[in-house]
Amino acid sequence: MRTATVTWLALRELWISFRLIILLAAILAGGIAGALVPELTLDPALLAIGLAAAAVLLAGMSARTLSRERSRGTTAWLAVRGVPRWVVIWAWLAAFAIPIAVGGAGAALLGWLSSAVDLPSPVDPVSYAAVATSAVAGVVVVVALGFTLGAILRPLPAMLIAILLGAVMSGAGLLATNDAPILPTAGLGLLATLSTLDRPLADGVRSLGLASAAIAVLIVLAAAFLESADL
Amino acid sequence: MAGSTPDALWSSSAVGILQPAAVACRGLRKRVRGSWVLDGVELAVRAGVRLLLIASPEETASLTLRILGGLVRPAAGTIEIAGIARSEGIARWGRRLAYVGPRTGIYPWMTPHEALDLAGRLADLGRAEGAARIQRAIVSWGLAPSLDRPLRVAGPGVAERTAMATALLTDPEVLLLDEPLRAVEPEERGRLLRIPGRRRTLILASRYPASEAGIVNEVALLRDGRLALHAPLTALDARGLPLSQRGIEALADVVQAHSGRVASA
Repeated sequence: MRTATVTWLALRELWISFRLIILLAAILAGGIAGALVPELTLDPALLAIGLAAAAVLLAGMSARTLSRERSRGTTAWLAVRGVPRWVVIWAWLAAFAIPIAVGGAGAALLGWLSSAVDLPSPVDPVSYAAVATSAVAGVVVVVALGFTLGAILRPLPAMLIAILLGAVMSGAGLLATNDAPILPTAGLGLLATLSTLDRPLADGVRSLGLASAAIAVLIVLAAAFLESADL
Repeated sequence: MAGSTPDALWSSSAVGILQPAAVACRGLRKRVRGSWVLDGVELAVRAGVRLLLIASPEETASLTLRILGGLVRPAAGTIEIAGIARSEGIARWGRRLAYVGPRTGIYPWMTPHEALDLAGRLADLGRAEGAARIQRAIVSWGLAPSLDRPLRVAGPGVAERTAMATALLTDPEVLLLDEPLRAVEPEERGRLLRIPGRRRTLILASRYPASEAGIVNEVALLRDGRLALHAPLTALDARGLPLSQRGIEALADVVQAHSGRVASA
């Protein structure tokens, strides 16, 4: 009940500060670009690049958001009302993940309509969905990294370091072309090279598993950092 | 010491008569930027007491309140609030403790009504009870004229009143106030801070002790990380000392010179 209340509060804060619109626009940008100018690509590569760029932006946004919540006393206001600190982390993750999932689904649909049907070797919808979901999960990994940094650092350093590390993680995921995914952001690379994949469904599911594990680890870490932080 | 005061006592009216320690801390230590700003603070505040806490350096009093409120982790020491030790989990302090700091911590886009409603939901007050308490809080804290205006529009005075109203919504046993209601007119501030409730314990950190006359009945001074004085306000009057930082420090010097230890209330 408290988690739902705090998540709703976080979503309202995102909405009122226009960050929710920025977040959705960033996620949808790649899909929209692919849909508007389909001759740019024969692959959903543009969508993958758009998601990777969005991930970098959202890493900075998530880091700054959590750090600001600490510095301006809103986290303290919740903490003195018996709201566990991990609930604050979880609520903010959910507040970011919900629009990322919605925007990601929209972008993936646009990507499918604009390019996936034209691939040299057609991909079935289930495999495409698995790969697209793993790419969106890769974005959430980078956002979770931002929360981890935001739990211990001040707003500006947290944001800058999150953008830097987010760029490294997204870039590595985008460029990694291993036979089997080994990075939590590998979904981005899978999406970018969809037409060349031998086993898109298996690779997508594996990448999704890696991303989920990474999100769990980063969020536990963020909760531990926030627990020991002075509010 | 942990859990030494049974829960049943805090639920009964006997608290006002027996006056157990509502706030008790022992050996409280905290290091900030390499130096010990709290170095073994021992403080026991009986239920129903209105304590003015001042410190030298001044920010130590704020830090102490944030530690007592569970917002800052001490390096060492034990804390007990209304019979519940920190080691049992600060979430258990829940409705027994409220803290209001210089930053209200409420989103500026919220209206007083939204903030009160949120505080009620987080405290699991229930729809009917929550609505009744919110209505009383609106009247007590004079929030009716600005009830549906965002706090950023309504101004800092309304934001501070709202913060106080949300803190008192759960009728806490212990109230920790750090420079409260500074944006409110001094007379009105004094009236609002005479918070009713014989069993309620108030610890108020202030840089302007004179402005707290009529609100507090005991005074404590933290000096160089230790409790240098804890005495009733009447001890100042008895020596003809004013309720000011200088007056309180002078009393601490006198008492320590006489007894060689901290004065106890």
